[in-house]
Order: sequence, then C-alpha cells, then structure tokens
Amino acid sequence: MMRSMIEVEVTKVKQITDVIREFTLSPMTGSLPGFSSGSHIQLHLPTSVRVLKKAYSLLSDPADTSSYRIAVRLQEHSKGGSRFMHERLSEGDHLHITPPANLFAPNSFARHHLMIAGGIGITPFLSYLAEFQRQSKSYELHYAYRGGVTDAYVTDLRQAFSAKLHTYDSNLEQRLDLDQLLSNQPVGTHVYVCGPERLRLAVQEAATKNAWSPSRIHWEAFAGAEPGQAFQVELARLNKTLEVSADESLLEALEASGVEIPNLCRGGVCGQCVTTYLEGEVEHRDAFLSQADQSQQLMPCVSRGRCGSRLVLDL
Amino acid sequence: METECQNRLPSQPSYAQSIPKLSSRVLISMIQDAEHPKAIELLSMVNALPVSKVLTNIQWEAGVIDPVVSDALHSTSVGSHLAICGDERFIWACWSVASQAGWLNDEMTLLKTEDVRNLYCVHCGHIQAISTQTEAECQSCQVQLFVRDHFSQRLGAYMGVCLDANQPYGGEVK
Ligand code: FES
Repeated sequence: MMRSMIEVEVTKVKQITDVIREFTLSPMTGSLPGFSSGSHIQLHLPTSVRVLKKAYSLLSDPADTSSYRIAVRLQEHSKGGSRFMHERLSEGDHLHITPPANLFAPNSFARHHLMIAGGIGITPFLSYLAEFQRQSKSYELHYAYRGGVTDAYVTDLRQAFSAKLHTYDSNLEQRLDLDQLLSNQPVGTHVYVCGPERLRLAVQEAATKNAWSPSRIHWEAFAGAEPGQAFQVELARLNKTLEVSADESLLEALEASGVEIPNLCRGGVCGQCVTTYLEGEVEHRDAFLSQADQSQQLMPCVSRGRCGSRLVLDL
Repeated sequence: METECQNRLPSQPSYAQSIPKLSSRVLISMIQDAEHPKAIELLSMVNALPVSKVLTNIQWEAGVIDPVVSDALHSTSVGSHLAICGDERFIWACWSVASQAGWLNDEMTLLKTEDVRNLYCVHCGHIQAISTQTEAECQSCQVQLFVRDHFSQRLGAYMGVCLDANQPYGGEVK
C-alpha cells in the first residue's frame, strides 16, 4: 500500500557549503507528522523527464514538527534528483513527500552511542544529537569530511558539542583510525555509520577485527541507486516488456509503467521492494538479501538486470 | 543442533554444549563451581586468550552481585566475551547483571552444569529452586504448580501455573 502523501512548501533554501544545500519544508496548514531520530522522508521531484523519488534523512530536532529540514549534496553524476534540488527547487515551491519512516533509529538499550559520519552522512546524526542531549545519553561523534566542500554544519557542531565531537579533514590529511576507535569502546556501545559505502565497509572491517557482535553495528545507506547499463525486463504475469535506461532504476521503470511496488528506503536496505524473478542474470547491489535468496529474488530499487541477459520478473 | 533449536519454544533458554571458538581478545568467565567438568574445560581454554579474567566464589544468592563482578562486567570493552558456567539459577542471576551492563546474548556463552532451576509461581510471585520435575508445590502459597516450558529471562525462572483449576489456592487465601 502506498502511504498517503503530504503536500509541503519549500519555505527556506540555504547554501551550507559549495555542494550542500539545506531545504526547510513546511506544511500547508497545521503541523507535520511527528518523527523519531534517524527518520527519513521520500521527496517526489517533478523533473522534466519523470517524477523522481528520493529518500533524505530529516536533520531537524524531532521535537519540532512545525517544519522538516533536509540537506542535499549535489552529486556529480546526478541522475537528476540532487541536480533538480540544487538548480530548480526554490522558496515558495510546492512538493509532495511521504510521512517519515525510520530505518536508522538509535538502539534504546545502548549504554554509549558512537556515531561515525562521512560528509553529507552527518544529517541523521543531527537529529540524534538533539535527542541524546535531551535524554542526557552518553555519545560521541566522529565526523570525516573535505574542508570547505563537505564539512556541513561543522561550525555549529563545534559550538554546541565540542567535547564530544572529533573531526577529520581530508584536506589536512587528518585520518580517522577506525581500528583504534573500535578497539576501545565501553561494553554496551552501539556504533552508527552514515556516509559513503567505503566508510561503512571500513567500519565493518574494523568491527570484525575487534570481535564486535554484528548487532552492535548500524548503518544507513543514503546514496540511492547508482546508474548502470540499460537493460530489458519482462513482466511474466502482466505480459509486458519494459526498457530500463542507464540512468533510472528498475523500480523507477516499473513505477513509470504503472506497476506499484512497496518501498521505503530506495537504497537496498529495508527489504520492502523485494521481487521474485524467474529468469535472467541480475547485478545484485542490495544489502538485504542473503546470497541464497538472491538466486530467486532481487531488490529493484538498486539492483539491475545484466546487460544482454533477459530478465523476467514474477509480476 | 539446528533442529533442536527449531523445536524449542522461543522462550526456552538454550545452553552451549561447549565453549565456541572465539575471536575475542578478552574472555571473562563467571564460574559457580570450579570443580565441575564443564568449568574445568572452560578454565583449560581461558589461557589461550590474550586477556582472561576468571571470577569464582561469586555472591549471587540474594540477587546482589559482588561489586567486583559488576565492575568487571562494566569495565571491559566491546568485543569481549563472557562465559557463565553454573546451574540455571546461577546462570540467570549473572545474565541479568551482564545484560544491564550492556552485554548482548551473542556475546555470552551459557554453560549449564546442574539441573537446578528457578520456578516462579504466577499466583503469588514466589521464586523457588526445583530440579527437572514438571510439578511442584509452591512453598509460599501452597498451590500445586505445573512447570511450564515458558522461561522468563527477566526473572531467570520458569513459569509455574496452577495445576488444578478447581484448586486455585493452597491452604489459606492470601
Ligand atoms: S525500497 Fe528498501 S530495499 Fe528497496
């Protein structure tokens, strides 16, 4: 079932760094649905080609439902989403968004919260910080960025949380030693990672090396689908054939042809969009399915058919 | 192992047959009876790990755990492993302190030595020690109890419910 959409107005656009912009979204009337730290919303962006659906973390304080704030980094190889947000969206525009959903909530039993952010991956942690402060939780934030480019909010963070903030500017060759960091965390710590894939992999590697239980590691994939090669897909039960172009995801192609698939993260982590396939070779890019399941199922929000092979879905 | 797990009620606790191969650098062992074969086996492998702390003669009966033990559980870092070796009552008393200190189930190995376990009377809340029997009389309210497989981790006890619905009270109504 598709969740009912909310219409909002862009009430403020603020340039945070050269490549990062913040948007304030306000309700047409009243207030917006409440949310918990780590929640995201989907924005429906009416680009010239099609309506793009993009998920963004809410960075505002969960206690404030008078508006939502999100920050968007202009991706160089943008499929149109971040480019649209940076170049076309301005104050006074109206948009449709989904109500917030949370796939990245802090663990409520944690005795210490260790947050690791890379660049724009700082956004969910801004909502964590508001909550941790309020509840006097034990926490620390490690923030790696490129100074002057992806160092969003670093000045504000320094002012408000200097004692708990550790920054690493790649321009100054400051390196975050994950092995050292994870070798020395008090029992009861949970670690949260948000940033580029290589940061997540590095945290996972350091965690494994230090014998961390996988249930202490939490991460958010905010990157969304990477483009790939164009391919063809057949919908066996609907008796339809679709062309998926290089810059759209399989999920987007299905939606464009009127096939609605439940989805939440659009980043291959939540498991909502799972679809069975009957034939063909798949380029699996999700972080949800086990290898065994991948022989029959795929996550169309990120995974694609291999170019040249005939992909047949059980739809 | 696999099938045994699947057949178990989700609320029934599971115990390890032996100590698994550990990737942890630190092992803390809480041992009730150092003479028991399982404890001896555990003690023989603790030396293989770079850091090991063995805790014996633990005061746990009254639900109060030694400050020394509690300190040891709080002051390690993530990536350590905890082995608890004793009867079921001992295991769950220690488990509860460890959980409060932030330990997760997959960071603990529970080694059961004896069949002594706790029975919780759902009628009066009394907890008493029993063996493997499936029926017992509550020492506090005298109701005849049926020992269910349902185990509460929080209480560290199996649930005992009135055996005979026509006899819901023991001697005196409380
Ligand atoms: S929408 Fe979450 S995995 Fe596809």
